[in-house]
Parts: sequence; structure tokens; C-alpha cells
Amino acid sequence: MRITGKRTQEDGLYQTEQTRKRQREKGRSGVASAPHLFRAEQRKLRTRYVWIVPVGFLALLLLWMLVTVRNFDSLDRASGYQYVLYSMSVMNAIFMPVMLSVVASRLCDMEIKGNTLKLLYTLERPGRFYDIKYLFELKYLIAFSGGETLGLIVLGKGVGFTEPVRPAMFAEHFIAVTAVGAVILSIQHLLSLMSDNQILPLIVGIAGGFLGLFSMFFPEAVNRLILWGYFGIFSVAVVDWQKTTDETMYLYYRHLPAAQFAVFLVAGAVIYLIGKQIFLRKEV
Amino acid sequence: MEKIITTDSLTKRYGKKYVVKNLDLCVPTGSIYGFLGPNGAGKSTTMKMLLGLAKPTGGEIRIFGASVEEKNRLKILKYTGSLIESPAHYGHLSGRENLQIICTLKGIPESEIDSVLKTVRMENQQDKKVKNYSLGMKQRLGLAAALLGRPRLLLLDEPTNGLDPAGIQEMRELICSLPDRFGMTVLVSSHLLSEIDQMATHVGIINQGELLFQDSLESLHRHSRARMRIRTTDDGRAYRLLSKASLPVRQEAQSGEVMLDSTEDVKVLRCGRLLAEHDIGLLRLEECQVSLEEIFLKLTGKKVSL
Repeated sequence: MRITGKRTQEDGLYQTEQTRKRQREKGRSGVASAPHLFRAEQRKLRTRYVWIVPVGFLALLLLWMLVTVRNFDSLDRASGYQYVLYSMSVMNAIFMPVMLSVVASRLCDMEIKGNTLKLLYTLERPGRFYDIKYLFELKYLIAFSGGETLGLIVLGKGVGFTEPVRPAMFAEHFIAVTAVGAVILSIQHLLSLMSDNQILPLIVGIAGGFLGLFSMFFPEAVNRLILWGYFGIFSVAVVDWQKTTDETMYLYYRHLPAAQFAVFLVAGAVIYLIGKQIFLRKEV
Repeated sequence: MEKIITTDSLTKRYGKKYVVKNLDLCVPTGSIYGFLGPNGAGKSTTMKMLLGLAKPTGGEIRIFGASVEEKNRLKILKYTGSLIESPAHYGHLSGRENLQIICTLKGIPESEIDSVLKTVRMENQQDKKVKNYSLGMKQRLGLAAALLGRPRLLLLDEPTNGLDPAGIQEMRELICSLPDRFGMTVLVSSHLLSEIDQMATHVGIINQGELLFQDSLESLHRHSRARMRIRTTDDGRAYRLLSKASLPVRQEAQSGEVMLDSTEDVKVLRCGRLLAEHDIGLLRLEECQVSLEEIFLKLTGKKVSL
């Protein structure tokens, strides 16, 4: 049976009664479901090419690493993975905050520029919007840290490291990089959503990178106060500065300090929640 | 008449400054309610509070008969479309893709997109990126997004802002057609009296956060009917005499002139006779028209934009 009605058919909206019925069936709460929200978020990213950012940074870091290790002698190759894990921690401290600020900015800027929050808040809860946006940014971080971890293993095999791959250490590297990155990302996420101009979050990202690098040379107590320095603190390969000489760098593996890492995760969650509260207080 | 929106002492305060003060809004179902006020009067803030985008400092909002609270806000807004200030859009996507996102969030089929694009006459521009749209096209896209899901209530905040005269005319016609075509109630704000005059069936005038007038447009027009200005040799005596005779007269506070709130021949004639009978000399009898602009100016104390 056709659903018609002269007036509504003319307007081309004759199917709307069916729509209303479907709407009623779909959700009586009026709140868009999580799959809908994820799908909508995915659709927003069309033609944004956000993948280029983590892939580009990853390519740069791995290329840099390749240039450094390609002429390693047999002695260096015997501890090659320790070296690349240590070096990558330093590089992550410099580059990852910048990468994360660009990712967050690419995803949040479209909402600010397009004045979309006024519309979105009538369709979804602001808190949910904040969370889902963050999860989308996190996706790029996980892809980056996963790609980095696998990339280092492949790189080592490619240049002929004789040191065996220790999966546990690489897994811990992946966890540490992702965790530190996730906390930094929560700050970039907040800044990008709160700033009309994305220059500020980008400056914070660049400044954080430098601060993270320099903090590695600060006393440990000071280093612990600097979030961006945690790439170094949680590095699974560290330099033994007592034994290191001008000619030889002594490295050793170190498991993630469980208690310290747990405290860091809790602090990270608190930072995220504080950021979310700040965002929720903002009226659009 | 059934009311689709009512507010009770709705108040919004930033620090010590009241942006909206004890607002008792009453929007009849099926009406086009023109929410009129000068810039900064509190129109947008009120509309934002209705949509839950700004938290009221005090008072209550009822939409579709239900009290709007954070927990049921989205449920109520599911049957509401809105266009607040500048239209929301994703510039890197096409018009159609923008509407697809709204469909996904509203949980409605994308088949509705064609209907709303036809309604706002944007079928030919739907595949163009929104960043290349003119402001008028963006406004129409915003309206199309608001119409998705065929809401029962539409909140439009200054929808003709920035449009050229042709765009204003087109938007106005579109808004006027909505109640009849789709059974929608439209709350439309503007600082342009002429615009509200051409669109609305009901009007609310707000200034400095306070509602100064609220009734049908017809009622507002009644205020603008013609009057007779009477100048005599003794205005005080003339006023007392005419009011005693139950004629609709009043005395202007500043000039002391007598105003007869009617232009009916019978009443004018009676005035003339009474004055003559009591030896009060008639110096001038003048018909004056009170325009809507004057009423607006009187109510708000601000010069109206035209």
C-alpha cells in the first residue's frame, strides 16, 4: 500500500510518518546510540586525510632510525634493539606531542570552524561527544605506536641485528608509548576543542616536545613533574651513564615500573576527567 | 489554545548581569512566533536555554508539555529542529554529506535528504563543498538540517541574517509555509520588526532580558490603529469632560494634549459637540497613526532596525 496524501506528497515528505515510527522504535531515550555516533564521526573525516599525519611522522622516525643504524658494526648489532628502543623514546618525546597536537587539531578544528557544537548538543550529550572524539584521536595514536613497535622490529631484521627480539620488551614499549601519548592527547584534545584558533594547541604541542626532550637531562624529581618527559621515564631501554664512555654506550633493558606506571595511569585518567569537566562547563 | 513552549520565570544571569530575567514565554502550537528584540536583548540566550545549550540560572521550561531537564532534554529535542546563530556545517564536506551526518545522528533514513533539499530548493547544490557555499546557501542548508526528521517544533535564530533581499524573501516564504505544509510550530527570532510583521502570527518583544509584550500579531496591530489628537483652549478641562462622557480619551503626560483612541466618526462628532456645548475652543483636530515601529520604540526604548 502506498502511503500518500496529496499535500505531503507534493512536498516530497510523504515518507515522514514512517520515519517517525522508525524513530520511535529506534530509541525512546532520544539519545543517539554509540554506533550511530561513531559512524557520524567517521563520516566527518571524509577528505580530511588524517591518516597522513601519523603515517608521515612514523615514516620520518623510522627513516631517521634507519640512517642511524644502517652502518652498525657487529658489536652494535648485538644490542641493536636496545639502542633503537632507547633512541625511539627520545624521538617520541620530541615528535609525538607535535603529531598528537596536529591529529587533535585536524579532528576538532572542523567543529570549531563550522560552529557545529550548537547543533551536535541537540543531538547527543556533550560528554559523549567529548569521549567519542577522543577515542577517534586515540585510534591514530594506537596505530602510530603499534606501527612504530612493529616498524622497529622489521627495521632491526632488515639491517641484520643479531640481538634476539624480546617480545615482552616491545609490548611494554608499545604500552608505555601509548599510555604517555594518551595523556598528552587528552590535553591536546581539550585545547583543540576550547580554542577558536588552533595555533595555541600546536604551540603547546611543539613546546611540550622540547620540554620532554630537555626534561630527560633534569634531575629525576623534576623530570617526574613534566608529563612530556615520561617517554624517557618509561623507556624500556635505558643508558647506564656510569659505564658509558665517549666510545661506548652501555644500555640495558628495564621493565615498566608497575606501581609508578599505575600511578601515572590514574593521574592520566584524572587529567582527562578534569579536562572533560572544563569542556562541559563551556557554553556554546 | 494549546501551548508548545512555556517558560516560567526563566532567568539567565552571568555574574550580576541579567541576560534574561523572569521570562514567561508562551508559544501556541501551530503558530509562527516572532521573537523580537534589539541586538543583545536576550533572544539567542533564551533560545539556547530552550535547547539546553545554556543552563538557566532559574525558572522552568516546558516543551511539548514536559518540563525540560538534562535527563530528558535529548528526548524532547528529538522532535525539535534548530538553527541557532550561524548555520552549523562541515566545510570540507558536501551539502549532502553534511545532511547524511545529521541523519546518522538522528537515526533517520537518508531517503529524507532529498525531501528536505527539495523543500529548501538546494537539489542542484547538494554535491558542492559547503566551504564554497554563499551565506544564503549555508542558511538554507542549516534549515534543511533542522527539517530532517520532520520536527514538530522549529527554533530559528535570526535565519535571514546576512542574506540578500531575494534570499530574505525566499527564506521568509519558506518559514511561512512550514506550519501549513508540515504542521510545524516555528519560533523565529529577529531584530527586524518588518520581518516579524510579515512572518509571524504571534509576537513576543524582549528587551534587556525582559519580555515587554506577548500576544498575537493582530493584537500588536490593534495598538497601531489610528487615533485623534485634540488640542483645545483648555486641555485639562476638555479631558475631564470627555472622559466623564465615557469617550476613550487619555491625556499625554508631556504635552498635556488629549488623545482620542478612536477615529470613528460618531465619537469624533460627539467630542466636537461636547466641547462646543461647554465653551471649550477647539484649536486642532488631527488624525495620527501609531506605527509598529513607534510601539516597538515605546516598549523597548530603542530605535528599531528596519
